[in-house]
Amino acid sequence: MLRRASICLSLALSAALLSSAQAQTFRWATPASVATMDPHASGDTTTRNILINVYEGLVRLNQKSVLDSELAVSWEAIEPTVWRFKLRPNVTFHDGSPFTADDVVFSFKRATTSSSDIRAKLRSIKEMKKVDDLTVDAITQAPNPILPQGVLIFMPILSHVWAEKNNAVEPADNRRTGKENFATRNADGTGPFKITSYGVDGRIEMVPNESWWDKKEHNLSKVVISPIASDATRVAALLSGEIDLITPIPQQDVPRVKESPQFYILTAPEARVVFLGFDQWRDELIASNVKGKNPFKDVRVRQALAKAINMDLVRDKVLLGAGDPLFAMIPPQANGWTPEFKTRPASDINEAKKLLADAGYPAGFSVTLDCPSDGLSNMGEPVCVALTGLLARIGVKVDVLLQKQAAYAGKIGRRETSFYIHSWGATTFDALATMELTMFSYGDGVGTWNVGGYSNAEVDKLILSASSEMDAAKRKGMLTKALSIHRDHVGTIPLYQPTLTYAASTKVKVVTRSDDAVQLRWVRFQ
Amino acid sequence: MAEIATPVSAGRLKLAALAPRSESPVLRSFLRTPSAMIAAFVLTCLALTALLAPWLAPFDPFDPANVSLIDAMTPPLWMRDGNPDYLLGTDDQGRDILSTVMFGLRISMTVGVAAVVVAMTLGVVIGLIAGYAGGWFESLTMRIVDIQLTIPSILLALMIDGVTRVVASRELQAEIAIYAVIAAIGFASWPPFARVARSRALVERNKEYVQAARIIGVAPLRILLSHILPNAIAPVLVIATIDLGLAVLAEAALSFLGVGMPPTQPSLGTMIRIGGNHLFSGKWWIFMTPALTLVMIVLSVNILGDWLRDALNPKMRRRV
Amino acid sequence: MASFVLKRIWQGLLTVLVVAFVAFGLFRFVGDPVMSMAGAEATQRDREELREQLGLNDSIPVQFVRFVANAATGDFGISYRSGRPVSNLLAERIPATLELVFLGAGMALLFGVLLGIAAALRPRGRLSRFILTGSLAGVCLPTFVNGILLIYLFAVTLRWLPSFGRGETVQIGVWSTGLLTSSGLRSLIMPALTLALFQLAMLTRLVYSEMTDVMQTDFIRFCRARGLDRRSIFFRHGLRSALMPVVTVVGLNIGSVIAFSAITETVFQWPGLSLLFVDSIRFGDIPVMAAYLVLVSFVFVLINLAVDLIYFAIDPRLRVSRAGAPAHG
Repeated sequence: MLRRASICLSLALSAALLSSAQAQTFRWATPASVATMDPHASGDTTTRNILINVYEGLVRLNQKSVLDSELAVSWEAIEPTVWRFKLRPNVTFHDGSPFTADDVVFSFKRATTSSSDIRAKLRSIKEMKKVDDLTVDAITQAPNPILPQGVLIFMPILSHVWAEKNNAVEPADNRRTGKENFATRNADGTGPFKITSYGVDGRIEMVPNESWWDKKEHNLSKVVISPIASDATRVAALLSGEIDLITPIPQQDVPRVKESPQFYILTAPEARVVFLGFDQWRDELIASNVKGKNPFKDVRVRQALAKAINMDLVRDKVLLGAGDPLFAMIPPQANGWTPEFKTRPASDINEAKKLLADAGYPAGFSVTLDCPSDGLSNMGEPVCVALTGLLARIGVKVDVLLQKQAAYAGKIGRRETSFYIHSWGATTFDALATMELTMFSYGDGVGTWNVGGYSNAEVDKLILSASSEMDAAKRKGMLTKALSIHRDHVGTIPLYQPTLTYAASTKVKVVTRSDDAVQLRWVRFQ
Repeated sequence: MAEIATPVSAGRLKLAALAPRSESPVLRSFLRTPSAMIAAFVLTCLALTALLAPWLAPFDPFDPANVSLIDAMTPPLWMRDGNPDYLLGTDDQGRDILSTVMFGLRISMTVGVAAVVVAMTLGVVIGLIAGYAGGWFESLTMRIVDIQLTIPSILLALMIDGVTRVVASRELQAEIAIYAVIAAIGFASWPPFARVARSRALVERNKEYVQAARIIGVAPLRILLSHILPNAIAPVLVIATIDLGLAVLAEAALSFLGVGMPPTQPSLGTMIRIGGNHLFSGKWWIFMTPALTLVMIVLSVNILGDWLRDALNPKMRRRV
Repeated sequence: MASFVLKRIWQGLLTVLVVAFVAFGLFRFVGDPVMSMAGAEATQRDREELREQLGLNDSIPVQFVRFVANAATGDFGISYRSGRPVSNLLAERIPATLELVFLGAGMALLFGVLLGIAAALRPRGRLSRFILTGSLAGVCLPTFVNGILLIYLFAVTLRWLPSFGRGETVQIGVWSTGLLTSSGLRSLIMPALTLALFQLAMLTRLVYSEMTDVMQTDFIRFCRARGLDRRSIFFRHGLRSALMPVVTVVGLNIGSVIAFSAITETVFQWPGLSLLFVDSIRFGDIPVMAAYLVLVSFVFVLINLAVDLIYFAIDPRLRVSRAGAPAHG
């Protein structure tokens, strides 16, 4: 009876909404399209950031990027390697099936099968166990102090009833022999929005999920997400009124959009650091005129390069203000940060030249810089070219090798580089993941992205102990200390933290967050 | 009419018209065509600028130590905030636009002309022989043409780049970039020349005067050069002039993919591409200066091509 | 005639095979899909496993043979990025590209030939100069600039036409068409114009050049001497002879319009084959790239065959010489 009443009420509500429906359609343009509707089949950032509105996890981040409960109402580590999650009752999926512990266990299994592209993210969990209908235990391989924020936030939950009914219990085997399955083009989550259409052109249409468990903060009746890859076209679509929000807007178009009272610019510091890395492990660089030795093995050469780079100038003239210079491998938003990481080595050409001369390179040397032409938010090329100018002043001749992102990533991943520009996102808002992957001595599983091969026993030890330290304050101390050592050794030259820049129509209010995820549940028409 | 009736005399007439000594009609036609003279003048100026860029340009934009980032995006002298050091302003890296355009012109003209010469020579020679001789040579070369036209030239250029990467050592890559680009564009654009040359040769070889020439025992090479080639010149020139502009743009596309000229040695195409990003933010000079220079090249070459087509055409010449 | 066509088809198939092989050789220069697919946290072993699963560890010839064998049965594999069958992806995108290309090529052909004839009618006239100068501008302007200028004029400033996408489409069987809705038609105007502009300018110049050439020939002078009406000489004899090289170029260019509509599709976010290809390059999606190249080369081969057949229809002399006498060296 009660249920019928609520159905009637929601029908009445939706009828009322429909009357003003046209004005409440939110149109959003992104550069890339969603790869698949299956949240486990792709680790692609765009896909994740859009599907986050449809599929929920056990936990989520709030507007200030702080951990918040989602499908779990509470959690605690009952043993060092066992985390217990109490699940939210009375939650239903879009197809009406109820949400229970079975769905959590099922989703974990599904997300760790061989055809899942996100399984590496969940590697630290050994197993998920159902305790009762609304309780699950996550058993980890080793003690993991940041399991919810560091790992479970990346595990979207879908309905096991729906998946079994539609023969989609595993992600479509997107390899050699498989076929697409129902989940590739259809979705069934618990999130605030439901997919109504997923077009050939990557266009997605959504409507609000009226039976969502949380309090509705948005006032949208429909959402249309269109991919527009070309920067200029995306800006034009906003200016012509066909789109309400574009993410991102190229920096040089910001003044033009600001001019018009119909639009405004939104910014947020991105939880990411752009840095220069160098080969410190080969005995001879593969792309340099120095033969028989590797100049980057000498800390004085690395310091000289760091001193030659005037980041304030680059920020003002090349980034046009859209970045904050810093000198650590994590952004201020991440756990492990300390204010002194903001201070860069004073830029001083003479001192840099002296350091180079002391190291045995009074006339400098030449080296090739690997650079993604369409990476780093399209800033790869101008930043790299600006760096050649700054480094030329101390006699270091840099040849820029521009490549497309896919080719560049392969080259960096195979460590076929002497000098490269790269960026690393602190997606968990904690330093550990960054440090394990980019600062730990090169190896398998940890240090995989330590392309330059920086290696320091103390840093390794600190990272290892921090990874299982359950005391938050002690853990943070370890992280900060390891970061400081790496920083003093100039293991890389951190350059800046990029600023995310969006543009929107003044009709809508959008919340920006440092992880570049636009959450439709906070979008409001005014 | 008489020509059709007596093909032999027609052949002789044409031979006479093409004799290497008779250069004066071309010169005369040139002096009578003001547009061609202007175009030639502009092109000569541009070519000289390109040639003498290292001595004419106020800065050396290819030396990164010379570039001052502080002065980035300075507008041209006559605008507010203009700087007398930079007559036409600076780009997003603080390079003097005037100097960069001069040096960029040098690269673009070298790449464009060299690539078109490579493509034209290759295409015309193959096309003429294929059309005239036919047989296995024709079907082989025309199949290669078909195959090559199927591969987007960018991918072909990528392959050539891949080969140079293997052949050249890493620190040499900046030096060989320009040859790789010329080869990539040249080898990617010969098929249209071959197609047109062949289609001309096919038509001409069945004409009476060619058959007559063959009957009286004129050597095939001579027939090709003096009867068939002149007839192929008009369409080849049209394609060549258009191809020159295309070659310059293709070079920009290659640079865009990261296999062309390095961004520290920008060509006109690269400058246009970078300037395009700033076109609608009010910094028009970064785009307009190289774009206008490019248009001037293509325009002059086209006008000259048009005139040359008329002047070289033996049938037209008889009327001059 | 029949043996000629059969020979051509056989040669065409060979072409497609060679293209597929060259394309395969190229892929390692385009990008490495494993890095982005496996994700940052993947171990070397994960990457190695993925590489093995994708068959990337096999030698290029082995990968090639497998690809051809599957392609022969219509199976182009699975897209690395989306996990969907490539043949489905291509089939969904074909209507958008074909509608754009045929409208663009049609516009170019119609206006190019008309303008070329108009210019050739009075080669020294004012109209002729105007057309030729305009065509020069069309040849000089890079496509991306054309497209962006059109967008800023008609979408941003005047707000007459949409700046991106295909508008509303209607599904007729497997074909999705934008030709039946007003928003679909409006979306088609600017991309088609952008695509047509360069070809239009080039055709205008070519037709003009051929026509003025033909009008100088002895054949035409003979006709004139016979007292034939000027108009009839121009259109019946002149135009006919001038059309042969035009057919060559048009035939070639329809193919290149398809292959190189990449810029137009990118600027207007037109959801066609080229946009799919451009996206797949960015993600290193090898199956999509391979299938696209094979498809485009197949279309080229068909077009070339058509061009050869049209040669026969237009130029009777060719028909006689080719059908009769064997080629001589």
